[in-house]
Amino acid sequence: MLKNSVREFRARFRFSQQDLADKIGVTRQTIGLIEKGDYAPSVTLALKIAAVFEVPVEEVFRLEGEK
Amino acid sequence: MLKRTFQSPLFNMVLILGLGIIMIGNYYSEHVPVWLTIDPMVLGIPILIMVAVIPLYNKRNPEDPIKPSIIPMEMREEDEGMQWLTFKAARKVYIFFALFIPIAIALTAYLNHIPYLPIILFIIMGVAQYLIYWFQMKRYS
Repeated sequence: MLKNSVREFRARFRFSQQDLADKIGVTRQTIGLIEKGDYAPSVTLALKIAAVFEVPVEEVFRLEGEK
Repeated sequence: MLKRTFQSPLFNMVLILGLGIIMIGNYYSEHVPVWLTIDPMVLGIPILIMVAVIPLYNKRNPEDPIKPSIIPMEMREEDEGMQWLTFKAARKVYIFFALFIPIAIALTAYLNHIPYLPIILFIIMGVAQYLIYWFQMKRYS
């Protein structure tokens, strides 16, 4: 199971779901799906999200059980 | 408004429902009340009006036009998340058909004294597939 900290990063950067969606070229619903853990994004999309927050991808996405 | 109407599975649901009622009224008129015999143009006229309005809509909304496509407009494929959502909804519809078709065959055999039953089943299948799709998409919107 893929866990993520997209919501936390978004709060830190004061981005709305729509702001983040616009920056990486997806819909607001897709950001919502990812944050809820309903959808595991592709590597490309995960890298794009991490790039927006200027952190390595493993800081935003991790496998369940990993620190 | 027009684009949202076309994109809504509810639009197709109403079309299938209307088509089914018109088929029953026209082909089995001796088995149903007179008020159920509806002229097919009742369904045709609104569709013709809506299709005729598309060029006007596109002129007013050049940044978000309605483009003719063989892919149904209610299918959301803007990005990978929406494609996944569409896949999930379409999968549920497929499972519904796989389960319902044998039931429909059994009902058709058992209730063969109702001449228009296949049309009723056709309406149920048509409406149900759009309802399943719509509810699934709505859950995440």
